[in-house]
Amino acid sequence: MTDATARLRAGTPRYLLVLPALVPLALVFVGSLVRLADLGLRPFRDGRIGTGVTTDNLRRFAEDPYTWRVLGDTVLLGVVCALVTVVIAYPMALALHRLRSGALRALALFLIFSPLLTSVVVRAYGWNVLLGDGGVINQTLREIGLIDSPLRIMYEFPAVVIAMVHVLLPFAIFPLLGVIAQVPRSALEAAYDLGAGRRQVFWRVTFPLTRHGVVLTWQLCFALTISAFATPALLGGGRVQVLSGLVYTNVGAVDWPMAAVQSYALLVLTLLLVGAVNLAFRITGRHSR
Amino acid sequence: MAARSEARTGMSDRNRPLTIAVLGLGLAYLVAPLVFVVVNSFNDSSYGGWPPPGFSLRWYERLADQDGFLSAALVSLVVAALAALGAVLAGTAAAVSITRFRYPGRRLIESLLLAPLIVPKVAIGLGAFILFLQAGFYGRDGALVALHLVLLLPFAVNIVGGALVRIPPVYEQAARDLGAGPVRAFASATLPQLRRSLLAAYLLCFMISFDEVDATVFVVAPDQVTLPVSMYQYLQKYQDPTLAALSTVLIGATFALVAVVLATAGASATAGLQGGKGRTR
Repeated sequence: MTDATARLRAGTPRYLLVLPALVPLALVFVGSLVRLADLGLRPFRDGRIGTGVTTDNLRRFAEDPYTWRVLGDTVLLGVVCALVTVVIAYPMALALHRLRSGALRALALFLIFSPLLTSVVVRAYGWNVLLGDGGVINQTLREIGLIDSPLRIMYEFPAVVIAMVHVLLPFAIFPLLGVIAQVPRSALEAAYDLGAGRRQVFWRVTFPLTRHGVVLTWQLCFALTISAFATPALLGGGRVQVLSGLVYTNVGAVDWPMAAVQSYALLVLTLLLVGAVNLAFRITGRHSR
Repeated sequence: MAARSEARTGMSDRNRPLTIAVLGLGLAYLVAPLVFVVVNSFNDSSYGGWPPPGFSLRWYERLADQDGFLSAALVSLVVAALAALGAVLAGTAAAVSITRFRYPGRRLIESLLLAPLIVPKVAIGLGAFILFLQAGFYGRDGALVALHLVLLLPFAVNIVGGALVRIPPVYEQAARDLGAGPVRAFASATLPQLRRSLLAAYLLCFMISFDEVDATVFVVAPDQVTLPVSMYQYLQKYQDPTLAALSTVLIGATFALVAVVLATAGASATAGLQGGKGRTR
């Protein structure tokens, strides 16, 4: 702690400064989660939400094989999308880091940033145009005679992955760029001076020093994927179901207690993953960089 | 020496084509859906058939006839403007508190401020819907603003907090020593250095709010639909290029805005996405 910080501390209402943020957080965010938990424990019979406390909804959730299949699909989608995203984002971040031309770099950064400026709904429409049966990709492939009948991409798992990875990429490239930029130049120079080749330097210096960031980025992408709603709904067309879609359907069908339990299942899934990754870091001792 | 290590640790000519190819492919993937949305908005075919049978402006004409989108856009603009303002003001105060002071519970408060990032939007949206319904707040003007404000707080805290850590407190302390009160010292010594970050935080928050679907879709009352929600509902029913025309207008507007912004606050916005590393020391 610097001397100046210590002096600033004296006599300043430091808790008061947090209040404008904490009050809405407590009221809306914490309040919402409490209400949601309460709702999940309410009985639901004959299409009505009753009073009292019950674990019926938890049992209904656990005993429904369909829910478990959707849960499995959600996790699978999260794992695949996060993995594909990191595999694409890492080389892009590395290439961006190595780019020397300032203008090219600025242009690339802008293009990576540009999808964030358009709604996910707009992008889903764009993928519709590209991937549909009569869409750009299928028509082009047919034109050059590679296929006779259109490839079924739209409203299937691949379409959701393609669109979801597109949504995730900016969220992965920017943090990875930061992580790669932190690799000290001296470490690379030392490795080269000791006679290492390009490949060796990457696998034995650059990659190990950025591994932590890679795992954190993967974790973020997983969390973003399993809670995404609009993209899987629009590109999966009901055929690819994820948990967030079930929540939405159940809200429409007035089975709010079930929707609440499913929302909590999503939350638990996210927390489990965050906990598992943190634990793994602690065990391997890489948590403190 | 400098030139030699530059050649080794930087990019050698042997690697250049690979670097360009990786970046080029990745960027093409990122830009492709946007490009085809724009192209398709001039497509004469009503189901967006490819290749376009002809050039047409009729989707723009149809867009002009839909007043639903216009009112939805107004709702989105107002909600985004207010929620972003609230989030930046409250987030800045909170960021000052957790970066400039040490007190028990600070870590807990910091985690709570960032928690909405981790909790699935669907859970927040559904919970907020039930909460607002029971509190008689559902459908009120402030409901969407309150929800978005909470969703935006982590971003504001991250960006402003990240900037505050880089501004040494000595200037503020000097102002205090010269007799300024704590508010005046902050406003005259620290605030001017925060300007770009505040602008970046506001714009990022505005954009996120303007785009938010996942949580909003649960909370909107029928008469207060936001633009992305109304586009979502439209896309579920129709697939004609009216949406492409609307998207093109939006893309044009945002790109024009961003061209201005990138020139002034681009670096800070990028820093915000990187997660404000080293927020607390």
